[in-house]
Amino acid sequence: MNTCHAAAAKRRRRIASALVASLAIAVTAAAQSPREEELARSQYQSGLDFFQSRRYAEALKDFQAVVDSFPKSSVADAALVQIAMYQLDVARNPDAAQAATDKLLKEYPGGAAAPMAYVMAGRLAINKGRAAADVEAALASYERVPRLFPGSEAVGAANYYAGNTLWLVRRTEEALDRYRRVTMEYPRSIWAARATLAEAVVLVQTDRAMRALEELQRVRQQFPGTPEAAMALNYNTIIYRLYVRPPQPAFAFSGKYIGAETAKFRDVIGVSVNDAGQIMLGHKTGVAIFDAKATMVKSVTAEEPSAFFVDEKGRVVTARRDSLVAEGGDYAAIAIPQKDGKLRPADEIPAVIPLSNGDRLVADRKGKAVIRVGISGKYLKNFATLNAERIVMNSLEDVAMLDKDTKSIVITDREGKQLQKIVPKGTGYELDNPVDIAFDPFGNLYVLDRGKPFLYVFSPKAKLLASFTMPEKDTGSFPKPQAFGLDAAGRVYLFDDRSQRIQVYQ
Amino acid sequence: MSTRKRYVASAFRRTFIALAIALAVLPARVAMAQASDPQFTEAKRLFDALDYDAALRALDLAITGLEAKAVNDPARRELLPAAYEMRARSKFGLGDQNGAKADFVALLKINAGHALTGQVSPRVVALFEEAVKATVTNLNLTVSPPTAKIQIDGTPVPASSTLPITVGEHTISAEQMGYRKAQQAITAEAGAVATVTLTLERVSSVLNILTTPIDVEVSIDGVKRGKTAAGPPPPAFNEAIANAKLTPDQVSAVMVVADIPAGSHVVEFTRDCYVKQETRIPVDKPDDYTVGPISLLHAVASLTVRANDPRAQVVVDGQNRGSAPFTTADLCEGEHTVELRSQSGRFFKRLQARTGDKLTIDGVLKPGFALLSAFGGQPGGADLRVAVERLFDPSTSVTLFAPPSEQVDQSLRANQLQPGWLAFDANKRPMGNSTDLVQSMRRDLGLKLASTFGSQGVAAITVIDRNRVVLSILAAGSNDPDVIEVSLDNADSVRRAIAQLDRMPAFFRPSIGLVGVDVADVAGVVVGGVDPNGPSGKAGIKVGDLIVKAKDQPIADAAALAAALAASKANDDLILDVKDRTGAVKKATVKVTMTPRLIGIADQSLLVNAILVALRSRLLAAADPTEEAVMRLNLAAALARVEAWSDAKTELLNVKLPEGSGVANGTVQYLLGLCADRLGNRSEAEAAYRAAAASESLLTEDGPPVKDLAQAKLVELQRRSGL
Repeated sequence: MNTCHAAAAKRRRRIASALVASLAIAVTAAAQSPREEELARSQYQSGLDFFQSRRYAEALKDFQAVVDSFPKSSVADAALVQIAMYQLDVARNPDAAQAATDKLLKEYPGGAAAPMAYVMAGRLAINKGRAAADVEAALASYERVPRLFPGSEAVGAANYYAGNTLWLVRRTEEALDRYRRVTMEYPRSIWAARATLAEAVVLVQTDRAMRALEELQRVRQQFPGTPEAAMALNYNTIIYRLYVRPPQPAFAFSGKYIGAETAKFRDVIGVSVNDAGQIMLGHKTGVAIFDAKATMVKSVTAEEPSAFFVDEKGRVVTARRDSLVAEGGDYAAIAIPQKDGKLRPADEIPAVIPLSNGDRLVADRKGKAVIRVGISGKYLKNFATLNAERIVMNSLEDVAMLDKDTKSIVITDREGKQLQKIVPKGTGYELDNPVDIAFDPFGNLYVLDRGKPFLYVFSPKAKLLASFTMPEKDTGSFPKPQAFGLDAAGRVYLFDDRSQRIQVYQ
Repeated sequence: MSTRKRYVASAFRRTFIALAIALAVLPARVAMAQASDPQFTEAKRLFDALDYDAALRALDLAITGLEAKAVNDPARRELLPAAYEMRARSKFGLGDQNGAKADFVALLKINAGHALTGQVSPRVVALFEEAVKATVTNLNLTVSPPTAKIQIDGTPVPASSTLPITVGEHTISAEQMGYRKAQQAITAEAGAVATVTLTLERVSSVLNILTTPIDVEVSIDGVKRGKTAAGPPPPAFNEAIANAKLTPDQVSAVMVVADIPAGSHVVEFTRDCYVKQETRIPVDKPDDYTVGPISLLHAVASLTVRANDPRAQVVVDGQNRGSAPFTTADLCEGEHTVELRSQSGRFFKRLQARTGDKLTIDGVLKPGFALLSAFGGQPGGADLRVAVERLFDPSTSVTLFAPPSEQVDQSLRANQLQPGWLAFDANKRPMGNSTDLVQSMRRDLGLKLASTFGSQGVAAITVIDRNRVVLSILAAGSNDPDVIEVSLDNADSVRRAIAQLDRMPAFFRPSIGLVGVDVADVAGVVVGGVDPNGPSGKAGIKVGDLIVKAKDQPIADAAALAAALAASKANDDLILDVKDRTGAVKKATVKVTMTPRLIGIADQSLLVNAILVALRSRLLAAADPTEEAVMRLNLAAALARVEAWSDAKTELLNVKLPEGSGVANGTVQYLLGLCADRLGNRSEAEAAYRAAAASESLLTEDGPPVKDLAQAKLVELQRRSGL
């Protein structure tokens, strides 16, 4: 019986291989002319260049042109992968991403980009949700890659995303195992660098920060000049600051200021640093944006905004009274349903953040609640019941909310289920008047206390890692801290009401 | 006279006659021919013994037998006249003169120029002459050209102006190449000389070709006409030979090529190892033309072959020529293959030798992969294996060579393999007949074929499209080939493929026992980790310190420190300026050590088959015990990677490393555990894993710690045993 099965399996393998070979030959036979192939490749490269410089609309046009005009070219399938990635990661349009992935799997099952199609299918599965079925569907899709394409570099990508999936559902040791598999099996692939970065986050979160330091340094050695090497430097810096430098203070004033001494920003509502390293300062009349050299590059006018964020399209969105207004005028009114069924407009929105699926978490001052609304502002559900002064989110999409009334920080998962709570007083700290919070890439929570001017850093397990203050007489002290933001290397950009400028600490 | 006296006298007479006859010496050719005719031999014996009666009877038989032979039979030609002569004399001796005369006539009809041999009785001579007068006349024959071959009645006769001919009807013919054959019938009468003049009509030209050396292929106007044979040529060509400053024994026999039409003809002379010659012969009118002697120059080059391995054997064109170094001065012009073969590797080169070249080859032996098949290529097209062999010649780590097609075909047939037996695509999916082979079969076949071709592995080409191929390489003993995709018409692609093949990991790296990390906004290298037993630990460097200078040069980042380290040798002192947490700067002198490195057994990006053969080769020459141990450890890892667990274990058992951090004894124990586990020896695996779990070693110099891995394996073992 076993012999029969083995023979049948062998026949199936042979048929499958013959089909693949035939398809490859057929594709080759029906391939474009050399001139058309050259055109297709040029257009594909143009799309990649646009994508790299974040000109996504142009990139999408190029990729779509390759798919539509040169379907038999050798890069048509790769263009579909790029479209799927854009739709998922940039446009946040999973349906369009799914359509591109399905087309790729159907029309180019044996092509060079087919392995990445299965990776995309896995990513789309976990994007739907974090239920067990979603996780298993995602993992199954990733596992197809090494089975069907054993020698492909996409195996590294599949294991990386499998690790991410496991990490998202807090199966951290399994996630670590997957990341290590990438670094062991494909040490020279860029996926190994990414897996190491992800592994470092897990190690820090599981109290193995010094081990993470060694791993990160390897990324810098083996992938010099890459964005991953730059990220490793940032991670190293944060770990050094929090785990190696003590007992020396974690921070010191750098001597740098953002904003002119004469600017005198008032009623600062928040400071943040975007992915491009620009420092954004929300104030009474809008949002000022500075580059890393402290030169103001842009100013978004808004009348007394209470909060701001940057949306999926890179626009500054400000919260004003009862609405969210994006640059260019898009407007989303926020109204909360009452018990009587009527809608009450939001009165004051002290905090708002975007979620990865396009929803927003909005702090409703009047209702002392945090609500979840859609991209259009439509109320979806209540998220948390507290008087949130600030809301921030980490890479796991855990949400930290600063409760103005209780001076505590509540940390929940993305569905609102409470995970942690940092109470006002604990070993080594006391929160007098916490005014701002922020997560670093490792999920460490930074809390700025205006009452006793301190900056505290708590680990993901709510353990105090560092506390920082400066004597008032010292240059760079912050006797009246109002808001702060963190850059990718954990540097603190703190607005102090006395100096009325952003002061940089590293 | 009494009867007795008469008898004695008669006997004496007979004896005298017989002696006279017996004293006659038969011509030598008759003596030779008679050896093939026992009848004749017996008859002669009787004749020589004067036993005429018995001789007569024997001669009757002999003559009957000889008459039955073909007219041109040498025995008939030589022996029949002699037989008739003996019979005639016997008859004469017995008193039968008429019979004797009749036999003389018969003899003369066979050979008109026959002369009685030896001392013959005058009466016999007279009788013979009577027969001659009645039977033979002379023929005056004039033939033009005089070199024509003459036949009378179909029997070749020597060229002569006067020939004896029997009376009667005859046909005279003459022929020569380049002439129309001529023929004339005559009637020869007794007592009258016949005169015949035959003039052959010239109809075409003849080339008489002479060469030195012999065995030269002659082509006329592109058509091969044959080869020149051994000489010497006839004296008629002596003048031409002398003009060429040669001697007749140096020159070939004349090669006659007839039927050459008028016009200009190109005559080519070729022979292996000689410079081809060509000459143009204008044929204006039908005539004999002498071509040559054409002297061909020896077309040879000299070849010197040296090898980096003193045990290497030199093989030229498949023939073993002995050990290197090797020199020959008679390498024929043309294409050749030169190989060096030893246990550790192979060198292979195809070269084109031209006359007078002084070729020197300094061969560096590298592990060799025999390119055995090309799957998916154009049937009848150029040998893709040779093309790939040439493209990969610059590789510094392996030799890819294409054995002769016939040898390859034979080997594949003998093992019942098709060309696609090792076909894989770029994603390492089996194609063609490769899908039919399980890994153990592939391993066994690869081992066998590598042995057949004297190589360290085998390779195959799978054609993906017009110019893209996938090269699969399989080391002897491996079941899992490496695959490299390459576009044959893209120089960059070929360079990348070669670079991939040549990428050999270093097995040691310099270390000072600390982990230096880059931190933004900090000038220098932060110490992120220190081995307390390492050089930096012993020099008092601590985690959190900042290295700001090395060898008095500022160090901006970890790359700069790594560069300073890379420039150092084992046991060098590296002087560092180190700032501690308080900001105080101190100098620390650390000794550079060379720490072992290990390839990742799971590393899919390694061409592990290339590494396998390279390590095997290097181990043969390893001198330092530490280097040998580390190479053996890496070889074991490579073998583990291709699932040759038994071989891997054998290597590991010969590796002795100290305990410690980094790649050390714990690493060896963990790998031994893996081997034992895969070979089904649970208790051995458990013991090895426990030893690994108690160590501080790493799986590779960058981690992970083997204790974590070993612990996980122990849990897995327990879980499996509980099932």
